[in-house]
Amino acid sequence: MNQEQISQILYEMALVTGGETHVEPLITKTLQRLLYHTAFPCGVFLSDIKEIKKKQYECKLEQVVGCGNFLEKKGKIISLPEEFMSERKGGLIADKKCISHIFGENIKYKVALILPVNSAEWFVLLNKNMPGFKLPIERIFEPVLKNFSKTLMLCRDNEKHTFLLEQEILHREELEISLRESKELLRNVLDTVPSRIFWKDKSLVYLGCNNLFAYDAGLKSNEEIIGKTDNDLPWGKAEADLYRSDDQKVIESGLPKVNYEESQTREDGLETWLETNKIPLKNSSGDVIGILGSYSDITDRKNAEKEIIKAKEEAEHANNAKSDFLSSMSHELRTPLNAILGFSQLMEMDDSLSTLVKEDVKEINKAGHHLLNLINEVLDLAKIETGHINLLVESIVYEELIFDCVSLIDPIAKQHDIQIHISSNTRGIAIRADSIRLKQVIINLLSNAIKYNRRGGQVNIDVNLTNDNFYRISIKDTGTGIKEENLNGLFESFNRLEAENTDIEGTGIGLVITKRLVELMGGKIGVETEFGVGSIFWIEMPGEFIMENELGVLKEDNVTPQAIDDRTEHNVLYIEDNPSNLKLVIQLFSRIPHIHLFTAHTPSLGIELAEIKRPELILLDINLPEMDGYKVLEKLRHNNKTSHIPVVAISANAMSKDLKRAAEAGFDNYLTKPLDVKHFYETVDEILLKNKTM
Amino acid sequence: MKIIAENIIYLEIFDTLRIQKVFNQWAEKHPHGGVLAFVAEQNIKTIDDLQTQSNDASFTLIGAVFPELIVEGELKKQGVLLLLFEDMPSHCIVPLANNISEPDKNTLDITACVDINMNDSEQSLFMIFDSMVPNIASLIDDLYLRIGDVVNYMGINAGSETFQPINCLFDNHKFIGDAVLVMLMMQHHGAILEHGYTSPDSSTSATSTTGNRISSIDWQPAFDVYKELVNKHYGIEITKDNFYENAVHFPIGIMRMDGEMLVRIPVAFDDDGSLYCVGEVPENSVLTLLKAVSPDSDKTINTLVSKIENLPENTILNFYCAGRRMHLGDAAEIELSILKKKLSHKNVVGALSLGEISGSKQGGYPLFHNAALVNIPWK
Repeated sequence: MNQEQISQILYEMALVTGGETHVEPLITKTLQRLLYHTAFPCGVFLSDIKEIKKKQYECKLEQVVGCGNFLEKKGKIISLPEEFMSERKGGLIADKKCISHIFGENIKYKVALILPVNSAEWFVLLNKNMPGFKLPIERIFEPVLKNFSKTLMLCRDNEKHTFLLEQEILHREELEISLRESKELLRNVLDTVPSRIFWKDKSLVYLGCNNLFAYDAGLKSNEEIIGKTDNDLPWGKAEADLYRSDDQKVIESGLPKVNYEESQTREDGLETWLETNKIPLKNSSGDVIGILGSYSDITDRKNAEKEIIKAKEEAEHANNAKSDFLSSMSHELRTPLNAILGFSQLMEMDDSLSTLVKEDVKEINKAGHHLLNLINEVLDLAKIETGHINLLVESIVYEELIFDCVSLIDPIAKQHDIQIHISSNTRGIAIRADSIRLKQVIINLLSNAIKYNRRGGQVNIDVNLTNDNFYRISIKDTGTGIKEENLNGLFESFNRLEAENTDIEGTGIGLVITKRLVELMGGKIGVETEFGVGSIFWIEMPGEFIMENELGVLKEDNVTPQAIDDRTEHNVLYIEDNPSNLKLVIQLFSRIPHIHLFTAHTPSLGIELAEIKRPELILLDINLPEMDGYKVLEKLRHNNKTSHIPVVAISANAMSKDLKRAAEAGFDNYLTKPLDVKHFYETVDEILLKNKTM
Repeated sequence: MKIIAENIIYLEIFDTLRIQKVFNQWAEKHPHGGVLAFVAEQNIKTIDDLQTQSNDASFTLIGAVFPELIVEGELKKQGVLLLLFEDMPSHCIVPLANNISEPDKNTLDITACVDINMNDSEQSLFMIFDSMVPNIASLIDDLYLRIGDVVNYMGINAGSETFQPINCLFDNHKFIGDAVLVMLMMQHHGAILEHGYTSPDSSTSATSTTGNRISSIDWQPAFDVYKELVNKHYGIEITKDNFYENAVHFPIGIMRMDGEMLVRIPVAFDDDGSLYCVGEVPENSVLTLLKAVSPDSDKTINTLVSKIENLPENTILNFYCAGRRMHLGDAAEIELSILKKKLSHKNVVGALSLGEISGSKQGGYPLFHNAALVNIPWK
């Protein structure tokens, strides 16, 4: 083989090694070419050769070609004997022991050719015998090995950079996948929410929207929105300008505008209502870069709201009409009744009248009271049914409640020769209810127990604690009881269960009111009856048991009105335009000679008289000509000469709203027509006595 | 029928009954045995019958088709050579993926189908390739990388001398091409290979190759350079018309640093100037135009005999390259007869091969050769 051929082979080997870009194929191919050209059957590549202790060396067995017995050691760390290291500059070792030290006892090769690439990396070729090589085998490959060394370094750098690049690419791919998934998720969210969503840049040009918005905007896909402005979309110019103006304000202020309603009229004339939110979009520096908007179509809700408002207005209108009617009826009925009852009562007091006439007057009075009861109960029921009833729930001492009620009803019981029995051992029981209304309930039940009892019968009042911790107040009579078939109509208005055919008076409303009141106060009402034996009407009310020392707190101070008989001179002014009412009050005061009554039939006259006479009490009608009672009161209160004088309203307006208004206006009391003479006297008495003590 | 030895029978004319009788006898005597059959290309149609008879006798059959057979140093254009394995070695036929990017699959398939003992180096992997497989050298490189020197590598290529694709490998059930027949022969020391070709002083470089195709030599169309070299060194004008007759006499050598070389016989060319060889030519290999052995040279045979004559085996499977025979003509038969004469105490049987595999020395790095004689000691 001539020099040219050797050079060509070395050149060929350099091309083989120089053509590789990765470490493992580079080492493998170089090893294969070395074996091919040397006819050695086996070769290894050792890397990272180092002295770990003095004269102790180790390395990594990086590649193995041909040596089947230690293929499995590839990649492992092996130790190198010192003799081996003596050939670190390259050479042949024919030492079986030395070779066995590295590759194991089973190695069949006795000759090792060491071809160093550098101090830390060697090719070692193994053969059974010394090669019959005519060329200096340990030196001939030096140019190739130098070239290999550089290529190896480049390959390692390449792999390192390739690895980093691959990691970077992998990372980017993962990021891209993650970003894509996030975008898909966001898009799904945007297209799933029931709101319309859009976003614009600072120039108010649309950058994106969800599918619902695209649909509203008449676009086939959400991508078509990009680059458009509100002027390109199918809403009117005025609305487009409004939207842009709102957007601009949000962008300029940097503050969101949320939950506001606005209407939108489409090109087809369809008007829709929207609930809109606009929020400024900011970058990481906090600068506003655009606007995010969303809105919901609330047209259906708006229509429903309109319907509700309309229905409510109609209901209120109807209710007001009903209230006005009741108020009007109350006034119109009470005014004549005032005269009827007032004069009949006066006539009853007139000793000059014959007994026969007095009997007739008594009948008039009785009929008038019945009519008044009927009016009061109808009004009461109306108030309950319309919710115009105010309840003040408090603890009421049971014993006092029953005592008061029995005291009131006792005269009637005596008239009917009925014995009322109250159960003992009820001390400490308190009922939670509105005091006035509970008395009304008990009195009504007692009244019925008396009215529908037999003459000489009994009424028993009892109270027990139920399993539900309610107190059951039972009123048992010894009347005729109620037929079973009539029970269903017991609590129906104007159903008197055949009593209408008897001479027992009643309106047929009392039990209905009783039931409503009991239920309003959180209680229950019921009846146990046996026809021919009697009935037990009961109510169950929430209550409590209170200790002896607490009872006193609940007792009211009973102020007994003093009779107007102290003979002290008093001046009273009555302003009233209705002659019969005027006459009635004059008659009432005529019986009390030390009270001087001045009357005025017009408001202006009344105010003038009040200034001159300085009365201790002014009785003032509300429905007056020129100015109503409220205006008169206002003038009296603003006049230094009259501002201190107590003023009591006398009116046929008996609705609770009237009483409330009067109290707010500053009246000292409010008397409703027809006047209850006794109550009238008590009221006058109370005010005059108060003045006296001051 | 010629009984060469107790375990070797040659039938020049296919005789079903005789084969039936032989198979039955061998099967009875060696129930774990089998037969390796070499069939001359002319008798390819008998393979179906061979399979039938072996199956009927429940006797394992493997074999290959060669251009001609060698029986006691003589070439036989027809016939069947039957070699008995008293104990059938681990063997298989592996279809090979032609996709070169899948060499791993091929080597995995080969190593998986025979029971290689990784701790026993006294075993030989005997491979008979279909000669049309284009990447045999790479495949052997991969195989060596995977299992290394735990086996001795030896083998030949079977098929048609016309280099037309034919099915050439068979067993009891298969008869296929594009494959390799593999046998793992235990207690075997490998083959002895010689070609006797020497190199001239001048050399060139194959600058562009793909498998067994040389596109360019010294950056010029390979055919033009080859033609010029033959003319320069031997005064022969190679043309497209006389290429096939002449190329066999002027093979290409791939040079090695130890002075040895691999022979590649050009067998075809393309209009673009590419040359096709039997066996791969690595890119950038240093090539030379070889001086073929002369017809009167006995150097190759003498070298061979010196390595074989003292081996203990009584039979030598001799595979003689068909290209070498083409080059030497009648001298090839003389070379074979000399070999037989010098090894008169041994049986010499075999076939004309279309490529040869062996280490350059026994136990050396396995290489794919042309124009060589491979001799496999046979127990």
